[in-house]
Amino acid sequence: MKIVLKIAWRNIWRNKLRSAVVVCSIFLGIWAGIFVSAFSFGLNEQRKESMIRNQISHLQIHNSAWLDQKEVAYTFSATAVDAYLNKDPRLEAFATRTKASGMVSSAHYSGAAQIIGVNPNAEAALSHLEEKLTEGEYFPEKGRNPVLIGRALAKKLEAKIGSRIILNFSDGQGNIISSAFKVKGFYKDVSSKMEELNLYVRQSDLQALLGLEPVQVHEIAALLKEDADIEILQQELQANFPALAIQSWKQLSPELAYADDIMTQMLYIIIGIIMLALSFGIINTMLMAVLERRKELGMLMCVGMSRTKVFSMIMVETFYLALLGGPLGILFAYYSVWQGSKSGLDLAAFSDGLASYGIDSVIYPALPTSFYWGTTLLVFLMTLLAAIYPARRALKLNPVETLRTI
Amino acid sequence: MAIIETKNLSRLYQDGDHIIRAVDKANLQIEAGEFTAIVGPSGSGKTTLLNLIGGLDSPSEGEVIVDGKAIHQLKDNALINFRLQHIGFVFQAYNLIPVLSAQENVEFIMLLQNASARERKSRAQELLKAVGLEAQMHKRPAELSGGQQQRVAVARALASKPSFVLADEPTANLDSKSTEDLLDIMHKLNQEEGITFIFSTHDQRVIDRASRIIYVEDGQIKENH
Repeated sequence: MKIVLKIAWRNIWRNKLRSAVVVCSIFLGIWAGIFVSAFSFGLNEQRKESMIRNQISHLQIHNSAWLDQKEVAYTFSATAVDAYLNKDPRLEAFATRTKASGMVSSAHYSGAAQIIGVNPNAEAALSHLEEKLTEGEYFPEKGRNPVLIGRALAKKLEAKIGSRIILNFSDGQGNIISSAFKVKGFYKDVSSKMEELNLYVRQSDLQALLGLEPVQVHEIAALLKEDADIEILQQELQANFPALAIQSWKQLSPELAYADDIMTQMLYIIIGIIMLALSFGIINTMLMAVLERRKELGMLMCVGMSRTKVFSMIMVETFYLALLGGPLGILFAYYSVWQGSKSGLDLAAFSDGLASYGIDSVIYPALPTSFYWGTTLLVFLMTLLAAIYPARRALKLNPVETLRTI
Repeated sequence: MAIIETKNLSRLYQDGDHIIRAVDKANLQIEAGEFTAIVGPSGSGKTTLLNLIGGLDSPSEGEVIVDGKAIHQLKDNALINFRLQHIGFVFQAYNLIPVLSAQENVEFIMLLQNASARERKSRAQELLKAVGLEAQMHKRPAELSGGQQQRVAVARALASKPSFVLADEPTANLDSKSTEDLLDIMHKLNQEEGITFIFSTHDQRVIDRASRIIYVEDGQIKENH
């Protein structure tokens, strides 16, 4: 076997340029494939995290009837759940919300609005709403009916800090309520649609307008420290509060859950397609190498080298090419992803488009470690498959025929 | 005792509707220590006869017995192994492994025979010395002249300690000086060490040195003396 390894190694350097091109194409293909995969994975993770942190949280608790019809009347008492969650160390943050759907209007614009009554401190801890303010104050102590609106909505309403806007919505009895709110701040959301739709008011103000008791809420949203605890806590809450609907983020946003589930498969499909293309390059190169050396391979068989050894030699030559390009590509990709995950890739030029999908313009590539191992395995599997055809061609050579073609 | 014996040996090829008898009922016996030239015009069947004797080609009819073994009955892998152990080959175009040095080319055959590193090295050096290439042992084929490459090929052919060496037109690509040098070496090996050489050749200089001439025409052995 030693001689096979030795000859194979020297053989790949006979045509340095050709081997270098193959090694480079394997290196670049794998690097690009992994990096694109990391970019896609990072993009999806960011979108998921953004959706969870900004909109849906890990768990949401509602009155069961709220799921079918989002009526103001379908509240529940937060007291018991609040007490339960307060004691749970697995929680990162949770907040109660009161909601109403209605219209927002100013002298310049009128449009649909989702009015969300929040507990300022709890909401700041849960969705970091305070940190999203680009202008103004976060629910000042003094002043009546403060409202925080998104920048996109502010632009449409032509509202400034201190401007008054009118919110119209119906209470639990079907009465239309119209109330003036004072714009106290503009917030920035990753999604411009969310900026246009969601308005944040103090929960107590909204409860008073809707005629609800302070403990009556429409929603409790919770973030957990560990993803692994989500389903466990969901089941525990459901057991303790059977009348309430406890939903995880996967139930609240099935499309997000589906994208998350298929992401790994998608990554392997991407890298698989790249490897398939590369394997044709490898087949072509090795086939050329075999056909160019027909006479020599025939001579080796003439003088006593078994067909198995000739077959092995071509397989080993192919593996050497993959061994040079593959690990180099994987290591370089690992380094690129690591660097990218620290500094992020700023796609400011596409920020508007990305924002409409709820994605920040700075993308942080990321990949699970298992993917690198999976890719390594895939590289060698594809190399093995790519090597078989040229090696079989070598195996099928007739020594006498090859020598006759001198 | 004959080391090579052929009985009614034929090799037929189909060419459209015609059957070509490249070797036609050849009966031959070659004794150990002979320096035999198989001669004849182009297309007469010299190389085919040599290929059949060397187990590189399968006969359509007849028998090839080498060292008492009916090699025409051997399967592919057994035949490859038989060639490795019993037959040395020298080709017209040298056919050295370009990525190995002269010494490594000679050692290569012994590696296939699983000889020890020490044995390989000493025998390779001894053989290269015998063919006058002591100073070129570590050079690759591309760094050697045609004559030198063919001498490496002779050393390689002898490396496995074969029963005989088959040489197909070994001087066809060599100049006069290289041809003479090569023939001197092979003749010396034949005379002093009793190595059996069988050539197919057109070259009168080879024919002049041969102890026996087998004349082949239209696949048939016409003269044998």
